[in-house]
Amino acid sequence: MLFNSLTFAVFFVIVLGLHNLPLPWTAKKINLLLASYLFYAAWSPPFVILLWISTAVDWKVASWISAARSARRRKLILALSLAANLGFLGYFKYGAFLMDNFAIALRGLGIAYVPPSSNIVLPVGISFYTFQSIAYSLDVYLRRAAPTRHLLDFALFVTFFPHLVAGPIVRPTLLIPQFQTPRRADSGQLLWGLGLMTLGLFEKVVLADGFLAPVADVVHKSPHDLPALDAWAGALAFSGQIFFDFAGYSTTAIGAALALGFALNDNFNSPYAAMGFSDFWRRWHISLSSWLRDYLYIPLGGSRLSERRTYVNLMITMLLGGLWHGASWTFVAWGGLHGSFLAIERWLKTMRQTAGVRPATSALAMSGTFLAVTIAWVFFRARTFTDAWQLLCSMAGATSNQHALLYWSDITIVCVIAAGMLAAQWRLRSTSLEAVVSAAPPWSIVLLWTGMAFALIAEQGAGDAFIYFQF
Amino acid sequence: MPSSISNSDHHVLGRVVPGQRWPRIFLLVVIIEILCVASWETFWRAHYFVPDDYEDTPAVWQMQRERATGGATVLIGSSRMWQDVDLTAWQRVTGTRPIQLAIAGNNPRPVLRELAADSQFHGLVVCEVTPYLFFIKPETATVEFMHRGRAQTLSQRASNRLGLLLERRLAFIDNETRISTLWKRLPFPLRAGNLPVQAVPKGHVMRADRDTRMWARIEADPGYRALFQRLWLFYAGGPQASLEEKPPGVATAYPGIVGIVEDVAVQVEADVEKIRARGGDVAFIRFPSSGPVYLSEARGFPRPMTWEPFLARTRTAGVHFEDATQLQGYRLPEWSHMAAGDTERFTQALAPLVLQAVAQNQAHLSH
Repeated sequence: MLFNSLTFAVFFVIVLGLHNLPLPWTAKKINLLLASYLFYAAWSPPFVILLWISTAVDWKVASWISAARSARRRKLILALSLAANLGFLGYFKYGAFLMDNFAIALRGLGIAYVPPSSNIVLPVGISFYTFQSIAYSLDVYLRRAAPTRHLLDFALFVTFFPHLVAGPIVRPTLLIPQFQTPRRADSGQLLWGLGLMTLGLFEKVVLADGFLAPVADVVHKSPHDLPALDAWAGALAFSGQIFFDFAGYSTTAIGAALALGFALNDNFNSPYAAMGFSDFWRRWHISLSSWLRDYLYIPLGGSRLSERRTYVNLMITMLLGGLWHGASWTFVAWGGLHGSFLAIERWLKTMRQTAGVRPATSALAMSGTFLAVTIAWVFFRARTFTDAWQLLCSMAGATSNQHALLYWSDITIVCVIAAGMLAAQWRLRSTSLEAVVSAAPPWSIVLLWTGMAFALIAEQGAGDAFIYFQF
Repeated sequence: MPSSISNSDHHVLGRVVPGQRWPRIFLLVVIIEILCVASWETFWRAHYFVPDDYEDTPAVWQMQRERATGGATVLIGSSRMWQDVDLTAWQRVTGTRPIQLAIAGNNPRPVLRELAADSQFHGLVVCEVTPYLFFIKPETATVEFMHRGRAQTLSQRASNRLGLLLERRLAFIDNETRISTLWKRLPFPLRAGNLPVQAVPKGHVMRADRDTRMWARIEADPGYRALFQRLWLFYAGGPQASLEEKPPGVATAYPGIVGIVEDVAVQVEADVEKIRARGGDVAFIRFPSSGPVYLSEARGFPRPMTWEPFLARTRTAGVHFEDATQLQGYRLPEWSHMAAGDTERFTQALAPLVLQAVAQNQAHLSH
């Protein structure tokens, strides 16, 4: 079920109503669990079974790990959990990709092999709930936490509909305790939650789908070279689209959970106002980058080992982070680019310490980071390296085609939205939305909220899926 | 190590709620929002928009596709079949209400192929032939449109039905009134290579069963009508003076059209045979066009090189507007589609001709 659908509007009103009935807390949790399964089944009912398996395996495995006495046995049981979770992810998400690459490798050796045609459907949100389940098993294995005693709480942790299909990836230590005691939003939480949902849906429906996606799509799907202006407008449009799409989803999810009385962690913190790439990754898809840091980068050794090993760890983390987004080498390249950015930044910082290089001004650092991130998005959005290269050449002006693809209305709106986005993120860079809203005069909140809700209704929305659903 | 994940002492995450008087703010937002939406609805009703006019989405198309089974009469084609045929008038004349499966601006052959492959279907298919769309235009967009209709999730199906309920009551729910569309319609200067208008503007009103008419504004607003005319002129290939100077014939025909028609006919014939084998049949219609649009079609796709050999090769019945006086003389305000007020009379003339042509063709084939 999509947040930006009429079905969800009806669903959410019913769930909110049920949650506020004078029922026992266990009954309310069962309601939420059933609603979450319905939320997922509305996309494809059979895949609910995957959720059940993932829930059952990790709940059981965590209790076995906790009970195991020997380190070897704990390791074996953890391996079972990882094999189950990554096995599902590998089969559904990377099966066809692996087979295709295997066939290419064999062809390289002169062996003709055609893999069987694959019609595997990717279960929506599998990467998110798999990572969440893995975090639970790892936390228990690493003795960061003991397993929960209640299957209902754990099942709700895995399945809770606001975060189920596109995050934020919530840590068990943050969410499971919230299911322990009765929770109901007070009027402030309920209405602020609805306000966040309005903001998130406005970002998704109006800015991402209404204005930016058509421009980004037409540019990225063009089979021809483009004038530099069109190419840059398309790249900029995608930078905005992916932010408003994904941040919009996260904001809606946080708002929906808050309206029910639950708190989810932030997933974005003005990422395009980042000054540098390590700063960017502390602000973009925070729940994934912190997951990768805690469960991959640090276990690999992080920066505790040699300098060279730190660079290797950085690159491995970012390459796998890229691959997490999709089974394609273009995603790996995108991850590799960000790994390189981070490595170069780290090296420059080291140089600066020794050679005393003066830091760039903050505006320049922000602009440079945004520019590099926008260029890297080209690989993220492109279907093939050829497409990516063609667009990059167009952006560099290395084409002879001056046949306009976009209209002035497209270029203007992309510039207006991008400027507004950067200005807003610059303003929020060192503070929070909550702090700004607290200090704002009430009439301005009324005006803004009404404006966003009206734009949402007037834009209507075509019910387009969120980009991150496919990951 | 924390004692347990179940222990909430240290790990419960809280979210700050900004300090404002939220109930009062929310109440004001709701009141102003209701006033804004009511004003928005009133504004659009005063500008030719009406309730009970639906967006033509793959979901709505799919709802009709699921009805196209058994011995149904199914209309397929492009925008002329979609807008020029009055389903009620057809029903009045033939006793059967046809199912409208035409997809505007697209090649209808994938729809014919799907009906041919559907073992449950054994009815009559009536297919529009607008030469460029039928013979030349790639099938990709039609296939994608059909696929999106079929591939809906349960949630999307539910949302679609809820959306139809809203569209029944509200006039402003329309692609043309989206703020992103309104932005596109602002009079920005054109860049070299741009179409005269960004995306085809609203040209129709459609009921929930896809019974469709020309939108009143095209007839009433000369400026809006001219917008469509400029668009058709652009598609027709440039300054129309040159079209009139060159009469239709081999010299002006679409390159390689004879071979293209032969290839298409071979594919269509196979589909027709499948439908006939189950007791159904297929007929083709060439709808009226006028002015530069007619000239462009006649020049690029002369009848002796397209329509006649196609019908002969597929051994199907066909009705061409030029062959029947009762299919001529209707108002085509923007040269391509019929004025809403004329479609009933046109359909009453067309439906018997189609049934008659099918019957004659079947008799001919049986001999």
